[in-house]
Amino acid sequence: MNLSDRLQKLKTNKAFGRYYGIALLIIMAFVFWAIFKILTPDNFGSMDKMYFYLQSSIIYSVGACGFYFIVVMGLFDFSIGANIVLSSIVGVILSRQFGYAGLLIGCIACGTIIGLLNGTLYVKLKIPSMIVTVGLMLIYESVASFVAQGKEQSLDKALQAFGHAPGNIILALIAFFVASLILKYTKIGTYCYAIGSNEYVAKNMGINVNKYKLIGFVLLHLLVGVMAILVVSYGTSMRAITGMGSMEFNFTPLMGCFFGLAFRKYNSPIIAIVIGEFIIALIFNGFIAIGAPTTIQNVITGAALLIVVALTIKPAKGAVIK
Amino acid sequence: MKRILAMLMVLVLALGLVACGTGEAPSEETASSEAAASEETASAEASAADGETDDILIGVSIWSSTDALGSQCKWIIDAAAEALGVKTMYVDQGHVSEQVTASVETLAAAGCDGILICNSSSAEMTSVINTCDQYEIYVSQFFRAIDEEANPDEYALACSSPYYVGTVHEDEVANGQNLVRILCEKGCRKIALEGWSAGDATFLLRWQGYQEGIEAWNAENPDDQATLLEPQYGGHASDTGRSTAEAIISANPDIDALIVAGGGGGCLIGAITAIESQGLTDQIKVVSTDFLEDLEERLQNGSIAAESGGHYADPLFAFMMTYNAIKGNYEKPENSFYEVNFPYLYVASPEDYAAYKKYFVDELPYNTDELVAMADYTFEELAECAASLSIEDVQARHGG
Repeated sequence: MNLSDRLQKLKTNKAFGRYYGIALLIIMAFVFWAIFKILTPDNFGSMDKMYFYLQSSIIYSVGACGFYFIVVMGLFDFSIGANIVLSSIVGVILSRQFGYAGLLIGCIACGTIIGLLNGTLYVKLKIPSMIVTVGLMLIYESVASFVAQGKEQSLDKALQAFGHAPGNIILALIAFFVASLILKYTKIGTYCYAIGSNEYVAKNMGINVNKYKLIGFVLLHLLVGVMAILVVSYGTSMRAITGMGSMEFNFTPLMGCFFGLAFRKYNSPIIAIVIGEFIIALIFNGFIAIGAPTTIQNVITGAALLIVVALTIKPAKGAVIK
Repeated sequence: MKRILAMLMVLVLALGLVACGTGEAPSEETASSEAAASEETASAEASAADGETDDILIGVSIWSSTDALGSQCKWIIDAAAEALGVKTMYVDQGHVSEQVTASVETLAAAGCDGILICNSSSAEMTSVINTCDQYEIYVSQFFRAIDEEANPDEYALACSSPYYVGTVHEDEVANGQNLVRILCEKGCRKIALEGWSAGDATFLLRWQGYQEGIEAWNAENPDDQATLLEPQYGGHASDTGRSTAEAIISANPDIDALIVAGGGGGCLIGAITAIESQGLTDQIKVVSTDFLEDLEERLQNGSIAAESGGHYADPLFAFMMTYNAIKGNYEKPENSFYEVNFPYLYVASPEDYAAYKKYFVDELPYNTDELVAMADYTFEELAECAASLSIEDVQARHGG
C-alpha cells in the first residue's frame, strides 16, 4: 500500500478520520514551533511564552470565525477594521457609565447593527459586497472619528479583565463555541455552505439566499464586536482612524479565515482557524526571537500561508479558480 | 427598491455637499474624499487689518488631525489662522504615500493659496512640489525635511521650485541621541527598539540618533557598554503595539529599556500595557517621542521614564513662512529654501511635566497678540523665535 493509499485510509477511518484535519494542523504548528526552537532555543517556545503567543492569536481567531460565515458564501467585507474601531470606541465610552455591561453591550450591539446595515445594503443595492463594504468602511471610520471627538479612548484599568486570562480565553471560547454550534448544528450553517457551493441550486431548492446572506453579515459583525472587546481590552485604548487606515485590522483575521476554508473539508473549520492564527503568531514571535527584519517576517508569513493553503486545497478537476 | 435607495443616497450626498459649501459663520464640516476625510474650518472675523487675509486659504496635509500630536498641531494652526483672519482646510492622509500625494491635489483643487505638509517619505515630495508648481501654491513642510544626501533629486527640485518655501523640522538625530543618553544615565544597558512603520523618514532619522547615542556612550564608557537591538514594528494601534512589545520582551527577557520611537501614541500605550501586565515596570524603562495626554500620571507611576515632545508648535512656523510667502513678504532664497530648526522639549520627571503643562497644555505658548506680531517678523526673526522656544521662554513672556 503506498503512502497516498495509507493517508486515504486514515482519512476514512471511522475512529481517526474525523480528527485527521486537526492532527494535520497540530503537526504543522509543531513543525513551525520546532523550527524556531532549534534556531533559537533560549528565547522562544517555552510554556510561559506560548501563553503570550496564544493570547494575541485568539483575538484574531474570533474575527476570523465571523469572517468565515461570509467568505464561505463567496462574499467579502472590507469594513471589519472600521467595525473594530467604532465598536471599541462605543464600548469604551459606554463603559464609563455602565461598566462591563456598557463595554460588552456597546461593542456587540454596535457590531450587530453594522452587520445588519452591511447585509441590508448589500442585499438591496445588489452590488458586489466588496464595493458596498469599502463605501461603508469610509462611513464607519468617519462616524468613529466623530464619536471619539479627536481623543484616544482609553479603557479604565478596572475594566480590563478581557485583556488577559482567564477573561479573554473564556470570552473567545464562548465565541468559538457559538460559531461552531451555528455552523454544525443549525440551518444557518447548512445553508451558508449550500449557498457557497452553488447559489442557483440553493435558490431553486427554496433557500432564501438573501436572508441567509444578511444573517451571515450579522453573524460576522457580531463576532467582530466580540473581537472589538478583546482588542480594546488587550491594547487598553483605541484611536479613531480615517483614510482607510482601519484596513490594517482586516488582514490577520482574513489569514486565519483562509485556514478555516482550507480545512473545512475535514469538518473542523473553527479549530482550523484557531490553530491557523496560532501558527501565524508562532511565526511572528519566532522571527522576532531570531532578530529577523520585519520585511523578511512578512515575506515568510505570506509564503507560509500560500504553502499551507496550496497543499490543503485540492480543487476538482476542471474547476475554475477565481 | 434599488433605484429608490440609490436616489436616497444621491439626495444625502447632495445635501452633504450643499451643507459643506454654504455657511457664513465659523463652522466645521466633514466631506468624504477618495484619499481621506477632510475638515474645513472657517475663521472668525479677521483681527488683522489687511482685508486681503480674508481670502487666504491654507491647506494642511497631516497624518491625522485627531490623534494626540495631530490635534495639538491643529489647535495652534487654527489659533494662528484665527488671529490673522486666514481660513484653513485639513486633509488626513494617514502617512500613506498615495494618500499624501492625493491630499495635495485635493487641497490644490479646493483653491488653497498655500499648503503645510507633513509627508511620510521624501520620495513623495517630487509629486507634491510639482503639483504646487503647477497650481502656483506655496508649500512648506513641518516635522519633515528633505535630506540633500539621501534624496538629492528631491532636494534639487525643492531648491529650484519657486513655490517650495521651506521646512520646519526637529533635529531627530539629536533627539535620538538625547533619549539614549537619558536611558544610559538611568543605568540601562540593553535597549530594545519598537518603531511604528518601516521606512518612515522620521523613524529612520531617530534610529540613526539612537545608534549614534549608543556609539557615543560606548566610546566614553569602554568598560560599561550598552547595546541597542534591531527595531521591530508595532504599527499605530495599541493592540499591535502591545503584541510587538510582548514579542520583544519574550525574545529578550533581559532588556532594561524600551524605546518606542513614536507613531501617534497608540503603539506606546500598547507597549506600556505589555510591560505593566507582566509586572516589569521597575525593570524596563520606557522612553518615547510625542507626549501622551496622561504623561503626568505615567511619570508619577514610573511607566514612562522620559519623553521628548512639546514640538506641536513646529507647524506654526511653517504656517507663518507660508503666510508670508503668499503675502509676498518672504522672497525665497535663490536655488535654496528656508529652513528652521525646532527644538524638542524633554520631560523626565513629574516636576518637568508640571512646568510644561502650565505653558503648553493649559494654554498655547503664544497668545493672539504674539501670533499677530509674529506674522510681521523677518525670516531671521522667525527662525530665532522658533529656536528659542522653551518652557523658560514662555515663562518669561507670560509670567508665572
